[in-house]
Parts: sequence; C-alpha cells; structure tokens
Amino acid sequence: MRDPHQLKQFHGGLKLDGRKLESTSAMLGTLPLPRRLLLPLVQHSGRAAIPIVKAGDKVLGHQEIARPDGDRSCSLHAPTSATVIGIQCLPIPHPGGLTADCLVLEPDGREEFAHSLPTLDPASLDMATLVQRVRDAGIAGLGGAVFPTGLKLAGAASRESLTLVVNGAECEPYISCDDMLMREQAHEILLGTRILLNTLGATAAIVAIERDKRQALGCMQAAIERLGDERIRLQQIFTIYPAGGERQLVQVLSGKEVPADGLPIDIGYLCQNVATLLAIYHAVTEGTPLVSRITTVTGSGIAKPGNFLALLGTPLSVLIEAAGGYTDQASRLIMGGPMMGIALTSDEVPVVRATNCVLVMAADEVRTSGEQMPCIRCGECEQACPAQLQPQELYWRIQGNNLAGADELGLGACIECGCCDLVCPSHIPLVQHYRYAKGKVRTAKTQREQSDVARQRFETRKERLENEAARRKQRLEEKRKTRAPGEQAPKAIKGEIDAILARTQSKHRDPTQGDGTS
Amino acid sequence: MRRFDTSGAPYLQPGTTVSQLMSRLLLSLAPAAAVYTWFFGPGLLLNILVASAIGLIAEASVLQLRKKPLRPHLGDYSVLVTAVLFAWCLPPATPWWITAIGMVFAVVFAKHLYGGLGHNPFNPAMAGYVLVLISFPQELTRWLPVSGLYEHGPDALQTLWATLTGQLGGGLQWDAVTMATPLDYMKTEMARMTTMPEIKSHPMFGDFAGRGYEWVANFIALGGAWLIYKHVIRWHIPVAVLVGVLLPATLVYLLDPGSNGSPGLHLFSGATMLGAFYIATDPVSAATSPRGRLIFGFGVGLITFVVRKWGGYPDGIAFGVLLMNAAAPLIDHFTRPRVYGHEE
Amino acid sequence: MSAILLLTTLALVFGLALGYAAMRFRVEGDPVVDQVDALLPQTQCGQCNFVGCRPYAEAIVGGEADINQCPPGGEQTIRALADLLGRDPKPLNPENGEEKITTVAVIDEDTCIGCTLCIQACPVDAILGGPKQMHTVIASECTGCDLCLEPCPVDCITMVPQYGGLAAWSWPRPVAVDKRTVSET
Repeated sequence: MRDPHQLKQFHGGLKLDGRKLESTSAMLGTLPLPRRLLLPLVQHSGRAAIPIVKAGDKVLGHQEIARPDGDRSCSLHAPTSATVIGIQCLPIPHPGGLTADCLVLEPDGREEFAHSLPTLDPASLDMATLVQRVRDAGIAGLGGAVFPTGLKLAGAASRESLTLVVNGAECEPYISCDDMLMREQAHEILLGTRILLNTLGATAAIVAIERDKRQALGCMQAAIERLGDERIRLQQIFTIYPAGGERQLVQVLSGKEVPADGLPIDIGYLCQNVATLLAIYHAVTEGTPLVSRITTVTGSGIAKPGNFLALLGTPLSVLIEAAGGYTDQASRLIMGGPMMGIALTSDEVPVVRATNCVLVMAADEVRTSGEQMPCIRCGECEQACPAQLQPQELYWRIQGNNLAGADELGLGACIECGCCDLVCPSHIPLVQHYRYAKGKVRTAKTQREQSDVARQRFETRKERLENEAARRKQRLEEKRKTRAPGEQAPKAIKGEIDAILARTQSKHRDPTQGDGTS
Repeated sequence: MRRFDTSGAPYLQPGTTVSQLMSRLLLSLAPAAAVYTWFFGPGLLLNILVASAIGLIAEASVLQLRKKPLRPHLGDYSVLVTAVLFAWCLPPATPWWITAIGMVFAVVFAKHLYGGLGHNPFNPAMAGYVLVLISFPQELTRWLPVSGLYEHGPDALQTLWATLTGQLGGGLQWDAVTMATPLDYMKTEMARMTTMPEIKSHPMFGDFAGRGYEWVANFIALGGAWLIYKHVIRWHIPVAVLVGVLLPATLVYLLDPGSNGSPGLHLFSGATMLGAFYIATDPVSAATSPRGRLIFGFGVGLITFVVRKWGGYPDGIAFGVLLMNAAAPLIDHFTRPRVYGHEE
Repeated sequence: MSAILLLTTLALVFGLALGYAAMRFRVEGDPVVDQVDALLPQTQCGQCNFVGCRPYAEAIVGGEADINQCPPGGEQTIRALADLLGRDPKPLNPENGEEKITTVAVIDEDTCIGCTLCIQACPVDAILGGPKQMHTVIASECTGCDLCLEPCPVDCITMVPQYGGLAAWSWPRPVAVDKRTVSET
C-alpha cells in the first residue's frame, strides 16, 4: 500500500505495546439474550433522554422508549422485544461510581422488531433529513466521546471544502473492536461514508488506520477498490498513541492544528468513528436505530479474550462469561482502555454506547498508587504531551492552588490521554490532577457567569427603583403644585409598604431588633 | 457479586523510576572513576566514600526532623549523585572534614531547606563546592600529579592518611607532592606573560589537554553519551554547554592563538565534560523546555569560559551552573512552548 | 554646595515627573473595588451587613469590613480576597452566617396569595408575577439569598438544593498516600 500523501507528525505520544492479538484471533462472538437489559437514560454527552414508556408496557425491538431532551440529547430504543420493568436508579459505568436512572427491560425472547423508521434512499438524501434520521436513530459517536451525531453533522452543514475522516485508528492498547468491524463490515462502513460524502457535500474521505492493523487495512483497501469511489482513499498512519484522538489525527493527516476553542470542523475536517458510520448506514438504508455495538473483552484477567456483538444494556457479567470468565489474576475491571478507561467496582453495570472495551488487568500489570515521589522537573512529560503542554508546570500550579494560572497555560487543551503519567519517573498521577483542575475551572467559570448575570440584574433593579422613586417624587411635586390649598395629600400606601420593607431588611441585617411584625 | 478495587487512569505502569535514573547515572560514571583512579590514585574514591557517608547521614537526619519516611527518600539515590559529583570536584586528598562540611551544606541548606528533592533552585553539589572553595582556598588547590609524571605524588596510604588527618605523613610537604591542574597552571603562567606553546611544552600536557585529565574527560563524555542514549538525560543541555565553551574559545583562539588555550584544551580540561553531562543536567535546577535548556546550557558554557579567561578562578563550571540556576525560572517563563491550537 | 544644588534639582525633576504622571495616568474610580466585587458571588443577600455586594466590596477596600463576612462566597471567596488584597485568610465569621450548599427558592403555588411582597424583596428580580397573579421564582436567576422568605405573609417559599447527582459530579483532588509508610506526602 503506497502512501502518496506525506504524513505529518503530532508532538510527543508514546509507542505502546498493542496487546491486540489476544482479542483478534477469535471470530466475532455473539451473546445469549440477557435476562435484563439496563439502559441508562444518559449514555451520551448531553442531557438525559426522557422516557416515553412506563412500567408494564410491552415494547418491540427498535421501538423508541425515550426521546431526546433538546438538541444535545439522544433517544433510546429497545434493543429487542421486551417488557418494561420500570425506571430504576442503578450503578452505571462512571468514574465516581454513581448511579443514574435506567430503563430496565426484560426481554421476552420473541425477538420481534418494529419498523417505525422508513428506509431512505441514500442517493436522494438531503441534509435536514439525514440529521433528523440520525437523531431519530439515537446515534452518538461510538469512538468514546458519545457526542450526539445529529448535532455534529448539523454543525458541518454549509461548509466549503469539507474532508471526512473515517477514524479507524484505534490507538489505545487492548481495544480491537474497530479492527474487527473493519475486517467484517468494510463495505458497509464505506457505504455509510458515501452517504455522508454525498449529503454533506464533502470533497474527500480519508480512511485512517494504524499501520500494524494489516488485516483491517487489507479489507478496507479491497472494499475501497470495489466501491470505486474516487473521493475515498486509505491512509496508513504510524502506530503511536494517541494518534486516534481527533485533534492529533487531523494534525497528522493535514499538518494543521485545530484551534484551541474550536472543533475540527472549523478547519474543514469532520471525523467519524467507523462504528458510527456503520450505524448511520443502517439507520438510513434499513431504518434501524442504534441498539448494539461491538465490545472487546480482553486482558490477563479474562480466560478467552475476544470481541462480541452486544446489545446496549447487557450487563458486563454476560460479556465476561461469554469470554470464558475471569482468570485467577483478575484484579482490575476497566471499561475502556488501559490509558483512559474507567475502573469499575462490579460487573453488574451495563454496556452503554461508550463501551468499546472491557479490560480485566492482573495485579502486577496495574500501576500501584502511593509510590509517588516529588516532581524532579525532568521534562519528560513535556516531551510526551501530544497537546504540546508543559504538564509539570500545570502540576506545580495546581498543587499551589493556582487554577487560573493553570488555565492560562492551556489546561483546557489537555486531552487526558495519560502519556505524561506513563513517562513520569516520580509516578505522579498527573491526569488525575488535570481532571480535578479542569472540573474546578469549569465550575468557577459557570459561577462567574452566573454572578455576572446576578450583578447585572441587581444593578438594573436598582436603576429601576431609583427611576420609579424619581418619577413618583416628580408626580407628587406636580400634584402639590396643582392642589388647592387645604386639600389633604392622598394616603401614601406605597410609602407604608416601603417602610415595612425597610424594617424587614434592617431586621434581617440585625436580627436582635424586633418590632412585633412577622 | 464480584467486587473490584478501583484506581485512576492510566492503569499501565510507568516506564521508569527516579531511583533507576539516578542509579544509571552513577553506573555511567564508574568507568571514568576507574580511569581517574588509575591516573591519580584512590583519592577520588575516598572522597566519594566520605561524601556518600556524610550525605546519607545528613539526609537521614533532616528527613527525621521533617518527619518524612526514610526509605523512599534515601532510596531515590539522589543524595548519592550529589555526593559523587561533589566529591569529583574536590582534589583527591581532601581532608574529610572539608568534604563533610560541603556535603552537609549541600544536603541540608541547598536541598532540604528548600523543600527537598524537586524543590531546590540551586544545584546542591555546586553550592557545597563553592562554599568549600571559598572557605578552604588552600586545600582546594592541592591537586595531585598524574601518575607516571615525576613519580612524586602521594601513594595510596599517604592519600588515605591525608584524607583522615589533613596531614601528609613522614615529613612530606604539600608543595612537594602536589601539582597544579592544567587550567590552573595556564592561568598563573599567562599572568606572567608566558606564551601558549611554552605552556604546552610542560610535561603535564598530553595530546591536547592535561595528561590523565583528558582521558578522564573522554570517559565522562562516553558515560554522558550513554545516558543520552538511555534517555536518562536529553541532549540539549550537554550540547549547549559544550557549544557555550567552544564558541568563545574558538573565537578567542583564532584571534590570538599565542596566548589562549585551544578549543580542544578547554573541552577536555577542568570540569567541562563533567559539567556538561552531569552537573548542568540536574533537572531540578535547570530550565525545562527544550529551547530553555539550550539557552541555559549555553549560558553555563559561556560563563565558564569567561571565568576561565578573565575571572579569578581557574575553572568556572560551578559559577556558571549556579548563576544559570538563578536565571532558570526567567528562562522558563520566556521559553514556554506553544500549546496545540493556540496562537504563538 | 554643589551636592545641595544637585539634590534639590533632582527632587524638583522627580516631583514634576510624579505630578505629571499623577495627572496623565489618573484612573477614574477605584479599580480595586471592581476587582473585589468581581470575586464576590453577587447573591445580594445582605448577610455581610451591607446592602448588596458592591457596598460590601467598597467597605472591604475602605477598611470598614473584614474579608470573612460573606457566607455564600464561603472559604473560596475568603481565600481569593486574601490573595488579591495581600491579607491573611481567616475563617468565615459565624456572626454573618454559615456556608451552606447553593439553594434556590421555590414558591408553593397552592399557598401563594399573590401579594407581591416577595417580588419587591428579591434583589435580582428573579420572581415573576403581579398583584393577585401567581408568583413564580425563575430558578436560573435565583441566587439563593433568602431575602424573599421573610416578607411572605403565608410562608409559602422553601429553599431547595440546586444541584446534585450526575450533573454536579466532578473529579476529586488526588491525595497521595505512601503505602509503605503512614505519612502523607
């Protein structure tokens, strides 16, 4: 495979041990129908979906069971025909181990499906219809960020010279679900790509795959040649983590940087994960919503690692059992990869849209916390950071509670990839510090905005009251002038109320001063 | 239901540890130490022994006072690195109390009073060295002749005795057994208007620098190159220091070869190599960004040359390093790298 | 003699320069008060014993008030004020109140009699309504200052916590504990 286009590089990054062969040697597995499906109402970036069914309802597969709440939200669909047990607050895959409302379904085993969304002709698809269909199908980005795809596509409307990036990089170790998808469904992925190409009016589509995925590269290349669409080309990229991150990928393919407070679309690039494109293809041509995804189950703590097609809502325990169960070494259960995943306390949490991998690591593989030494300012973190930050400077500022200073240094550009953590000889948990600091900066910003609004309202009210008082005084003056001598001034009810208020407020300031009124 | 422990991402183990970096550094100096001992006797090793022992005791005491755990902090070997580098800068038969004073100052004042590892703005070894240099000027110039030359240097036992007591035994006088370093000799002779060719004709000079000393410098450079290969240090500071010395040395030499040391002489004499690869590269007190490190290293080399040529001391690495340590925060401020997606 | 002349000349020159600078670079108002006001939470509740946040800011700068009188701002605000003004941070003065979680007012519509007293009390006009009309708190604008509680003659206003659960969660600060010993690094 020749690369006619010169590949650029992104700064830093790490060459990690892939550990993907363990899970790609087996064929894609299927799972038995689980006893219960637990569907969190929020498994996307945005507002929780609003349920439209209640306990006791019988639903068909692919039937919508929760509608989006506004633009930045995703609908939910029943993965198979089932009875709605109800809405329960259950543990979800969350770093804080939180619980959230989930629609609990009990599959009835009949596997009957509704056909509520009509099929569409990809050739005559306009932008608005596509966005609506993607929204109706509950599609969110399946690469991990789970951003509502409809909203992302809507943002790409009316852009000149748009380039699609089909993200098959999958740079994090252990994860191989996209690899398997590209081997098995290369043609459909490209058809999904073509739908976007045509409807968005994009000029080209680049399929980016890491160069050590030989089989996936072969399958995709063959599918591209078979499709014969000149706008689509394959691009091998170097196997460096985190090449699959949107910002780094765009930099590698184009040499341009995504602006700090912007998105790739601002420089004419739209990235979509291969699984998302497949979902779009199915949603358009078959009218099927997103109800399942491929999940890698792997690690030293899994007996028979592999990839499985799982219905959303399947408890992780079902996947692990299908993968041969735990080995003696199982010590950490992680949803996601070893660099950015979420450690879970139990396997009773469900598969959600973001569940690309279930990783069970052995105790001697996992980084132990508590061996932290002081930062020796070696600068290795700076060399490894793909966002060109100075992690140690950020760390010093966060330690000194100078969060505004950390923000100034570009804390917002941190993609939390974890490269800095791995190279730090002092074993400082840098990413955890940045996550904490980013959260605090965000909260402070929201609070500042709110207090700015409150200040404005207060000033406006003060002005209004002053104006009213001035006008009242003026009216009184005029009245007094035009009043015949001897006539009494009308009872000033307003003045009495003001007096009550003044007393109340002064009592508020000095609670010891009582005057008998409530 | 099976329960798992949780921890924060990332979950993979980091590539290296502080103690591994430090121990590799010490290892890389072993060949150079062996060569030094071959040429100048066991004095260096005695210095290292005394410095390491005193350093460990001092650090352990301070850690106890600061109520910090001993094992992780002593076990990072940073005090041993300070000890070795400090000991290397001292003449071979230095009395043990001078070494001790220097080490205690380095460990307690220049390191722990600032907050310990990672917090010191100045290189502790150099701070200790400058203290004893100013306080004990005579003892710090008692350098030994290279073996094979004049055969009048103190033997191993006499070196040991001198280290323990500060005296030479057997009625020997210090003047009889010491010899100036090449840089020292050069400085005093040039003040007497001797020309370079005459200076270089002295038997203490080898191929391009001092006999013995140039070989030690070679091995230090090799050790340093290995450290760069192993990613213990990066190339920016060493290269910048060497350029910082070479550039002015070459310029001055081209202008007046008769009364200036050749660039090669400067490179392989004194502490140029040790300073470039081991002393200036102390990450805590140096600048951090690649550009900043180039400026930092160049400054160290430049100041070293200035002190050698026009200053009061024969070698200026210690001053160069300490002065650039003071400038490091400013350098860092102005050489911050541009963040992805941000304008310059 | 020449020394006296020289020093006198220098004094004159510098005096003129300073006078010119004082006129040329004059700043209207007191920017420090703006900076202090920017750090206050703008709840406008009056718990600091001043009528609103700006008077409190002016009092801090004028030296009439201490920096630890603002309960809604809490420790965070006290620290920020201490940083800005170069004073020592101190704990919140209990006479002014205590730090509570953010709350918003909710009017019980079954009980409300439409008297408009709460509307007049609200310092940020966050209550919607008119005489004999239903009153409602605009939750997004409510600062949780509690000033509407007192005037309500039928006691129909309650303060409820504003955030919780998933939306309010954020990463905690990592704490380093050396497992080999008990001390914290």
